[in-house]
Amino acid sequence: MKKVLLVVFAALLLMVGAACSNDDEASGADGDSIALLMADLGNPFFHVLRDAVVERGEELGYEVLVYDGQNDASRQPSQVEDALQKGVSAIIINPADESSSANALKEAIDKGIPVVTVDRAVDVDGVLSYLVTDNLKGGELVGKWLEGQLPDGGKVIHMEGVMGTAPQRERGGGFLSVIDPNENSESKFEIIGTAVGDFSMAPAEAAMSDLLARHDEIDAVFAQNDTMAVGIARAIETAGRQDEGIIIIGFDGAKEAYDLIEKGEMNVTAVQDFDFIGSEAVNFVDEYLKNGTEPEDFVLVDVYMSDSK
Amino acid sequence: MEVIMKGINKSFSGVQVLKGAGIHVKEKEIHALMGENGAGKSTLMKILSGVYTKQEGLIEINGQEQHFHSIKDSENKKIAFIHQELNVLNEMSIVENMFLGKEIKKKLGLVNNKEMTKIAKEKLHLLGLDVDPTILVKDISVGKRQLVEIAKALLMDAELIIMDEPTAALTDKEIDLLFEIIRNLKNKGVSFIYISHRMEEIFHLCDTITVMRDGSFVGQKDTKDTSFDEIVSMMVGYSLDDRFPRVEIDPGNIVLSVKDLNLNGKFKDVSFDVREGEILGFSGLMGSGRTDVMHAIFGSIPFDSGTISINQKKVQINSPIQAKKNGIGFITEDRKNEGLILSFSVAENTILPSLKNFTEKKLIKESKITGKVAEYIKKLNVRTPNQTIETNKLSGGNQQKIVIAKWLMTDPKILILDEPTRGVDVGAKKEIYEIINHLKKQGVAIIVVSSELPEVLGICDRIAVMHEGVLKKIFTRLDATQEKIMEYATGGGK
Amino acid sequence: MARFEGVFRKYGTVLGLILLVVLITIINPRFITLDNILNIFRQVSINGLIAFGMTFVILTGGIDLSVGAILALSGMLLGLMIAAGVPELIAIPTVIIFGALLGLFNGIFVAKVKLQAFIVTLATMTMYRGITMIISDGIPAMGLTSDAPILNFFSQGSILGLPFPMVLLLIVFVILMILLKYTVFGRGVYAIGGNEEVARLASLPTDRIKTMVYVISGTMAALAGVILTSRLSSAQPTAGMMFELDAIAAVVIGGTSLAGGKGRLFGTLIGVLIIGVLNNGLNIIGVSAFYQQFIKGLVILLAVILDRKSTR
Repeated sequence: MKKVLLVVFAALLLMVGAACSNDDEASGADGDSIALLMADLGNPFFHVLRDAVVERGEELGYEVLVYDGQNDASRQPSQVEDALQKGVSAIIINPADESSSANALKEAIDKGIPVVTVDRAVDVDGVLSYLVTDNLKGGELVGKWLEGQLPDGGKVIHMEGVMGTAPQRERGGGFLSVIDPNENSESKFEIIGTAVGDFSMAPAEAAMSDLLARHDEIDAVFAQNDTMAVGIARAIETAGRQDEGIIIIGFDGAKEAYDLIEKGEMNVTAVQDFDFIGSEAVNFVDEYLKNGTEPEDFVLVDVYMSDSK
Repeated sequence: MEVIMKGINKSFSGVQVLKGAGIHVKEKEIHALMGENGAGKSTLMKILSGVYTKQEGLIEINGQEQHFHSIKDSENKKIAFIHQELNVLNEMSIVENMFLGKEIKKKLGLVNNKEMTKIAKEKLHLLGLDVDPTILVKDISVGKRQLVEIAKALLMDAELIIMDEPTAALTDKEIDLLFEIIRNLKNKGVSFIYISHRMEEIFHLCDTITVMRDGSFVGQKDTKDTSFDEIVSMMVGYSLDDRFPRVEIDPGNIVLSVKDLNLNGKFKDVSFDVREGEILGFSGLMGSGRTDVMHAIFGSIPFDSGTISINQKKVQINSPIQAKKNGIGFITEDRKNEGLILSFSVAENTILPSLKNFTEKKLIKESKITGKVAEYIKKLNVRTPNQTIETNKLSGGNQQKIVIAKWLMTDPKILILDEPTRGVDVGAKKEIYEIINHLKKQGVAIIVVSSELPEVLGICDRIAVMHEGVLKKIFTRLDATQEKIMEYATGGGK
Repeated sequence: MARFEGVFRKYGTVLGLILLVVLITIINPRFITLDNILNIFRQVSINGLIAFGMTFVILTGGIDLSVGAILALSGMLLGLMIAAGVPELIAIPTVIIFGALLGLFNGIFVAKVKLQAFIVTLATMTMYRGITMIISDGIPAMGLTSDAPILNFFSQGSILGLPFPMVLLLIVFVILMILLKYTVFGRGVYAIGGNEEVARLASLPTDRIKTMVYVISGTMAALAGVILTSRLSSAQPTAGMMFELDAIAAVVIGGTSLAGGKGRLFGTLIGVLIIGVLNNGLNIIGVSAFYQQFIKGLVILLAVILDRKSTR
């Protein structure tokens, strides 16, 4: 019994400690402040979004309180409540899923606090605006870029993300609508292999090495995110086929992709414009707080190919 | 119920274990089934209870031919089998055990605990056992667990109850009670098949005896018309001379000396010596602390205070590893849980404590093992088809010999044997005594813990008697009688 | 018939593997090319090493759920050390020893404190994952092999035309098999799984053996972490998710009983190859991802059913 009490006590202490350190991260809301709730700052890719919001917010004179959901959807509701307690004037949230924080956000909306969601929607009425990358259009853009590179068509491998998720469906759908001869009768391309890399590196690498064993001739590979594209580049290197000029296309615009592109081991990535999304989200909040102007409630943000800027 | 089994044949993977086996049990009869281990008694009974199916032969119940394919089939014919290793779950209550798989349910499918507890209480009362049926089985004695099994049989209105070595773990008092219950049930019309190695019990309790040997029916005798010797010679196929062979030699120096050994709640101030070439017996009732003392000497349970000296030198033993280093071997009481890994082969079990002797440059040499194991199989006359067979396929007596072989291989200077002949047939028993005597001649200091008084009196040089954790008295062989030992074992004596 | 059964019991999994290979080859002959076979061995080396360690643990009747986490943590540590400029000849042995220590930690709790292995390794799995996130801040270490030729050799190198991961896998297999079959320690592993009390009373050092199997498991996981880091040329903080389950599956397919005491390292090797061939073959044939998952699950189930039948 003593042991149990000891353990419980230690756990409580740790929790208090953790909570305190959280407070340090997001403290003191004196003037007007905006809460930014990120789904997962463990993913470096989202740092771009955070930086854009913080920068634009400070330009406009807001204090930005950043919360990290650590890729755990159950954390975000209490973070919303915490922000409300602190008396923030607006909430910008990158939700971990579509429903977990719905009730907490509803409370905020009922209090008249503007809520903007980015990258993923939340299933609740009254959100000021929802900004998201147009993945479908992004997929199409990738397809068209590839057509530009290989006007005579070629043999293509398609590496998919986690099956059934929105980015997988939309990026893949957009890409196939251009490249897949079954959907676009004018396409000169052939999809010779489709595999699932779960948006992560090791599975994409393993699946790619299988496909390399199967196919002697591959012209291009489209990976639905950059992490997988990096794994694919590594598999091609392992197979000793880096000199065949296989075109590797990623998606997201992550730092690791830019690094590889610079080294010439990867060709291009479709960049999600988080810089734009972040600052635009702050603009919307600012306009609403100052003038009551309501922005469009749904904004699709175009991607651009990394070689176009 | 009248049961006739005739001409039963059965083989396992090509080895014929039963040929022409049979038994004829009449109504209201206690029928002993006897035979050496490996004679096929268990197999025959497993066929009667539907665990195995026969390949040839006839089973008739009350004149009707039967084909059992499962335990359920035989249970439907009101046959209950109480195994030697009781089939009770220690972590469950008595009532839960009794109704396991036969729970009484209420309308909604919920278990009706009240009703079951009431019935359990009634059945237990019939057996003279007035305990609260909701207590856990692990909290009652082994003897009472046996009664729980019988109560389970009563629950299904069994008309034939098969009991395999029911008294192996019981105290004398519990045995008396069990016999009374068996006779009572017999008078109410229940028949019994009673398997035991204890000759005295069988002549005391049973009406008829069927003897088996090598998988075949040898003969059937009425108890009142036969004798120990006749039955034994039917079992072994030849006549046995005296049951307890002895060798007389003068004991040498003191090898093991135990002084003021204490373990709170188990034993208190236990002191004794054992000499070279001497057999010291340990007698006492179950739970008198005998086994705990042996475990403490062997380092397998810790003790609070006291000293152990070997060859006049104090030693620290706090694990079996150190015990072995000091030349102690320990043949434990519980073969199944402490002595053998039943899924391991004969060879694998035999070499377990002496693995290091079979290595060369740290690697085990398989070739060394085979020869050594063969030598011990021969030395101890272990009846096994080969060395690679799983030990659970062997009979109890042969399993026991493997446990003994295991420790003989370590060349012990001190050998402790806890109930070395429990569940072992008459022929094998004598062989085990001869092995013990052989070790005695070689100068090994031997401790034999046993509940069987004739055995202790027959083979030991001195006999220590324990009662409730205290070593009451050490008799020399010539001073000891069954009566004196019992007197001290039950707390009397001065 | 009895003889056939005996053969089947012993080589059932091998037959299964052969059947699988033949079937896939018939559907797509490209499967059986030398390149692809080497490719399969390269791929299975990671799961193989983990599964070898897991075999020891399972043979004692235990389980080690923390292997995926140990792989991630040691891989991450390696990545950070390389990125910080620590010489690889120091960094690689260090993380392997570190993996052994993580295993030792598991082993002490299981053997000395006598807690259930499932609970202990479930807890340490979470702890090790936490430490990985703490030291990496959730950020992967990238581009590790460009200035680390030895680390690169771990996945890209070859000896006598065979990929180094494959050579390593086979060397480790032989060492561990000798350890398991021909040493007192190995017999003790089986004995503990068979009946720990009997083993203890037979004067075997049961606590030490039990601790050691977790050390082996941790070491193997760390070694696998080195290979994965080399393979991806990067250390991912979330690497090795669910790897423990793949390893357990390989052990079980290989015929080792989860209750302990029964099983062979060779069986695990075959189990690992069955999973590897299945993964690769289904990609080569071009089976869609949803069917792939279903088929893999089905094979595990079949293997266990077969094993149960043959041990009856």
